[in-house]
Amino acid sequence: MSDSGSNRRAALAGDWHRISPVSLVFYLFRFVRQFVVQGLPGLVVLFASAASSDKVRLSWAVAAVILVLILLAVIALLSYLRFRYRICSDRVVVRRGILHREELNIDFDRVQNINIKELFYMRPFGLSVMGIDTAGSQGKEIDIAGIPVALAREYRNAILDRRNPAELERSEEPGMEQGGVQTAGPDSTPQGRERLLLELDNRDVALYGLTTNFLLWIFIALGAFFGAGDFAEKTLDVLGDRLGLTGAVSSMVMAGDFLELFLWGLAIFLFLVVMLPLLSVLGAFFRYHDYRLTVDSENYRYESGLLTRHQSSINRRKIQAVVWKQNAMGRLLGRINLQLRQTSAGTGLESGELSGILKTMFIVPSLLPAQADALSAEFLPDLQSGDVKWSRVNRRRFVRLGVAGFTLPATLILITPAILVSPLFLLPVPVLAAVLYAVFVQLWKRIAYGVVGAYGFVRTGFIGSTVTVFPLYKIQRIDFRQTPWQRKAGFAHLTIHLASHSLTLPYVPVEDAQRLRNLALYRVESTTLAWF
Amino acid sequence: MFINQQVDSETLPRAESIRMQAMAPPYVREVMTQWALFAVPLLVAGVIIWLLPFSPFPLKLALRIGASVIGLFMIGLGFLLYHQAKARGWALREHDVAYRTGLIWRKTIILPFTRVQHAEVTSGPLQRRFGLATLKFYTAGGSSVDLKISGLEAQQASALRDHILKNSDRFGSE
Repeated sequence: MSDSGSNRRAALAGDWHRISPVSLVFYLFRFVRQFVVQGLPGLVVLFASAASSDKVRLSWAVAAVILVLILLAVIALLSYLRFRYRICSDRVVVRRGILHREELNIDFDRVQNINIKELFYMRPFGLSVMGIDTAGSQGKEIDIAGIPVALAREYRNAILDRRNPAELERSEEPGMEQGGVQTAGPDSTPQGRERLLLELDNRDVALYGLTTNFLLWIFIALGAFFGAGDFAEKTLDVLGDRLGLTGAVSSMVMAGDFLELFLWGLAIFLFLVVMLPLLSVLGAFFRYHDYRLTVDSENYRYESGLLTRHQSSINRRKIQAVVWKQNAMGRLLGRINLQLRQTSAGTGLESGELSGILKTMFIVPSLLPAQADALSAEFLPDLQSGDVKWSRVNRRRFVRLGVAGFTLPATLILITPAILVSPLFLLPVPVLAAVLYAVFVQLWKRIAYGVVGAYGFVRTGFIGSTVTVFPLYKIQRIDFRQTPWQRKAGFAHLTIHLASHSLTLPYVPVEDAQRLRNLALYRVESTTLAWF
Repeated sequence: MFINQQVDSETLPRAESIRMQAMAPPYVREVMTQWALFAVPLLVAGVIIWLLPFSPFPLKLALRIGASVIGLFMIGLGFLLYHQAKARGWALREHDVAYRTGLIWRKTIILPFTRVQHAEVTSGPLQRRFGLATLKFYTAGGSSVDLKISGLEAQQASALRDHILKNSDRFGSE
């Protein structure tokens, strides 16, 4: 660490480098986490059988775990020893792997974004983890752990600007060569042409904690455990935006026992009302304390975090969509959270990795509506979000079919006991239908779409709303779906696939769907701009 | 740098007037062969169960009902698969490829060439027997957004792949 200055100069010349021994801790944490996530069912079985059987003794189980820990430590050591990186004029090269050795070449062009994390145990040494995400290569993301934070910042700037790192002027950063304590003050990028876009104070961060989906943290944790992050995210969107109502409804359908349901509901409600906001605010402080958003030519970056400092960057060209999230609480408090979405392939989102979900979401939290408008226009040039004329989907079909879709299965389930025991079993059906009617009318009120200039808008939500704004020319694929009945009545489902996520508009009048599709295809096929 | 010219949506090329062309004729035969490989043994087993003299009556009845249900299901499935294969179609435009699937939920997918990341042609043993191939386009949206067109003639599939890949990097990466 004391030689990080010379290390840095040598690095700029494109030589091979090793990482700091502090990265041992990083690898150990990573392998232990992987082991726990993947081996948890096995561990549970092991300890359960140890507790219940005489043959497998508890001490053996503990010994087995210790053995595994030692093994993981050895793997961590080998990973650290095997890791080499090199930053050339146009690409990053990494050699890694213990048994299966690999050399990864990442062209600067392919880099989606670069995250610099100053993990709390690295901060005293002025070190960080530089995470490089690429487009289209799943599972090949690179983490360079234990790299001096100043060096990581220089690399990031150079890579995102596609400049040759060797051409960086070296005298611009006085005092950064020392590998001593690195204060996490204002971003110390050398260029000095950055512009501050947003700074959040503690109140903003607390409000973010309240206005974000409380379920986010829980679902992400679950997703990490069960490897179903994509599913978790979708479930989260559905549940979070609809305040859990649809979920509650379907569990009501399945449970049928109202007193128990009521008590459970009460318990869950109290938990939701008291504990989750608290946890959420706490989580927000750890992640977004001292949040600063800056822009340097076309590169946006933010820096935040209480113990571990996170730095995330995104180039304007890589933004596939800007999502405005405002849940019920956000509406109440008048705050909007923005997400900048980038391509999901290659960032682990599909394989459901926790890191993938967090990495692909560049979050600008806790904005006032005017700020959200101004920043959106910054991220998406020439955006005039004020001009949107929202078009609606067909109300009759959306509401009726939505209600029927839930009511019919419920009726089918209840019809047998109704015939065999008592017709009273059918009593919940009209109640359910009435509740669903209210829910779907509310959902319908939120679903809307529109086009302004080169941008498409899609809005969904229940009490709050989620608005996705995307450049039409970045659309990847368009699906148009109809049943024979819809063909007759003149409606269609339109699915717009972006590189970041997909949006489905149900029961769109067919002329509108066709016009939207033709316009989008025209934008895609006539542009000379790259989508990434 | 940004496109923002006025666009008259009425004069744009209309995707709804694309004339779809059916899949290669052997495709229906391939699908039905696949079905037969699976269904015929089951149907034969069903007939045997129907004919075998089981002694207790309820067992016999239950087995016969079971065999009939499975038999009817397989025949129904065959009917569905046949019409599904018939209903598929594809079309090539100057800048995109269109693919139509589905019998009841009829879906038309349009994929612009410039959004194709890479493409591959595969053919299984049965497909090779019928001279068919599957053309798969990978996109940046992830596996759910990849487009798979099965039931193309093998030569056609390669030609289509080459054509689309040639056009996919028309503008380069910038």
